[in-house]
Amino acid sequence: MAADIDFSFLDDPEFGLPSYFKPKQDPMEEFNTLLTQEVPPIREFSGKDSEEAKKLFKFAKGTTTLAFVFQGGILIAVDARATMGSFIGSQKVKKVIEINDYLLGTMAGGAADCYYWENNLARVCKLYELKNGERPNVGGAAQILSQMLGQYRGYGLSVGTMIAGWDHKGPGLYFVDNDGMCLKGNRFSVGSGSIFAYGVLDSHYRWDMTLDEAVELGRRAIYHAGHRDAMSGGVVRIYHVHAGGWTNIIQAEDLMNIHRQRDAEKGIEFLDDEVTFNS
Amino acid sequence: MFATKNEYDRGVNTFSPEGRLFQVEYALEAIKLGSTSIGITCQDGVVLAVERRVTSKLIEPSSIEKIFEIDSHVGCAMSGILADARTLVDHARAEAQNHRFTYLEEMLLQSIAQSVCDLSLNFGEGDGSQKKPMSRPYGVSLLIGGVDKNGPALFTTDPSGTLFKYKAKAIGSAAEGAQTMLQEEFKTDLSLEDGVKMALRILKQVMEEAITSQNVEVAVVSTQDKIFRRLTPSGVEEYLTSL
Amino acid sequence: MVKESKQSQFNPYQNNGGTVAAVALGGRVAVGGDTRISVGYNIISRNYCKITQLTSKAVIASSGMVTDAQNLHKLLLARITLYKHQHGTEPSLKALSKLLSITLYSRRFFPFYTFNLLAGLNEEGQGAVYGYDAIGSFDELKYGVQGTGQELCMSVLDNQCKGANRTDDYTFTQDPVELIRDVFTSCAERDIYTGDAVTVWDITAEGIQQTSIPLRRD
Repeated sequence: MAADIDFSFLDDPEFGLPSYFKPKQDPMEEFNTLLTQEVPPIREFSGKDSEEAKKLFKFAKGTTTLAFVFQGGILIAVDARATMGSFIGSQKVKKVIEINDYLLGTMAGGAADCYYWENNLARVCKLYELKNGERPNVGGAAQILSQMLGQYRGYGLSVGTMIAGWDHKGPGLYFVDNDGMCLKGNRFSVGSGSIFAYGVLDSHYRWDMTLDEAVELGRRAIYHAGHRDAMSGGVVRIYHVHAGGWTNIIQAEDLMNIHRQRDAEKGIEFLDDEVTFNS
Repeated sequence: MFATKNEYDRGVNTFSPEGRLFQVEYALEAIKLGSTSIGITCQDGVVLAVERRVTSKLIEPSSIEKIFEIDSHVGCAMSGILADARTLVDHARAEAQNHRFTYLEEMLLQSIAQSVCDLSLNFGEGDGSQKKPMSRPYGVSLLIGGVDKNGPALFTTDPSGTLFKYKAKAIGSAAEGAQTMLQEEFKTDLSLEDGVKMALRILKQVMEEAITSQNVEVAVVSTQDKIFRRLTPSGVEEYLTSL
Repeated sequence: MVKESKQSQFNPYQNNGGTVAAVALGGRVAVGGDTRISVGYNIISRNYCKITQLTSKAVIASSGMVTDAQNLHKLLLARITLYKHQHGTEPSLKALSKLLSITLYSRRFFPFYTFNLLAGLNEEGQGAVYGYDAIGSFDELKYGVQGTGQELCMSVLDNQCKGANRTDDYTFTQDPVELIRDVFTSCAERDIYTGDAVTVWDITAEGIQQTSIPLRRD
């Protein structure tokens, strides 16, 4: 019977409007939340209806990051290019986020997402430390991050990060992504250039490497990724995680430097190696 | 309605005809029951020193914690109800970390102390939620000391939400005696070392029990590295023997 | 009537075009923004200033959608006023850089359609520029460009400010204000959304000087 159907939605003046278009009940609400917010309020941005709108935003992305555990600790190597479509937004992005004196996080996916949530992790870790008198271990920190991201699952966050640090169990390396995945491992590479980096990493990795060998491996892997992946490049940055915290071993080395060095080793004149003229 | 004067203390937010808030005044009394705490600003840092009242020899002295770290550059000593202090300290910690998160800088001491005061007077009937977590005044006074970009500083807060900046201040049961001694001994060119010694010397005189490295707690924040540090019992012992 | 079919067409954003640029050199930073506003191919304003002064030492320059930029600037000014009252001082450039990032990210799921540059003098008195994407990813730079003329201007600034990939011995000594003017006059020649005039804000320890330089008006 028709009477069973609830037609009250016809009286709703806002029926059919997208959620973000609905006027707020309290016009100051959003202002207030912006002043005191801890995490961004969840409001659905479009889903299927405005793919067009999404395309307007060229969020910074594209990356090669890698980290591996070896006898001397953990080595982290990253590139520094940020691409927005085909435009290079920056060649010297800091893709290693210094969460605090004993934790590092890498950045792959949405730069703002990684930066915001890893900073949030720093805040939570410090409060944990003040409350409990000791720092959370690396696995705990990674788990906290993955839970924070898990709460926003399906909302389009883009995060692929490696959390590296040292706790009472020794080195800890975890991979965390935007779906809330949290994996422990000895060797990870994330980003569009990871396929190239993995190739170098897997074929030359040994547990008993010295620190110098490890640095060279990380540098090489990033170099090859930057060479073959158009979305990666810029400079290479290398960090070493050890019992005393972390050290920034290479602050910023231009990938062109490495390229010239390799050419020199092979006796190739710069820019003269691959060009063939049509004559 | 109010037959006798005493009945004006029934409601926590009821003024007496003379303009007094009795519940707040009673809370101030609670502090006078607490152990003595001393804070001194020196030329190169801030000292916080607290008496631990070990009421039974079966108590583990190290479990009595009356100095808290608020952020890496700020510490806080308390007198009064310990549990109330924890609520205020938790609030201050969250504020300090939120400030770091939002502005990428350490929070000013004055702002941290002010945020504690904002919570201090936020008592009364409520739903027990975050907005109004407390039904009565907090029976605690805090000495908030540390180093920020303006140099070393020391603030006190009390149940009425009043905030004062001090060069040196004592709170708790022996506050009066200790404050007189501070007044006599304080100099503006005090070094951190001398500050620690002065705080211990005063505590030694006002404490009922004999002072040992077990029944006092000392923390410093130096201008050199702006890091909050607790003194170890052996560190305190060294100072005590030099007195 | 039930409004049903509108939903799938709804797009809350438009790009009103325009370019903003900033160059820092030593204790000085020059910020420029053109004054043209467009909707599609129609030019609807020729004298809109894309730059707002935030503190005595910092300005924000935004391109993208004008309504969002105006809202963002007002929101920032409100938060800076609150900061001043709470902490008794103006926020430093570094504090502002993070505040802007957080403010942008607070709208992560319905972003401000703005591309921003924050420029000013830091606590050491050195000029600095911060570049942002729409949701708060940011980086400290020596020079930056945002907006429809980004691709045109950036390569010139790379060459002039950084001497990127140059093989000769080069150091940047040019007057930053002059460079901003050159970049905008060049950009107006090739970008339909950039033109009319450029407002240049010259920030030094002495204060902020504003000038306006005419550009092509076609």
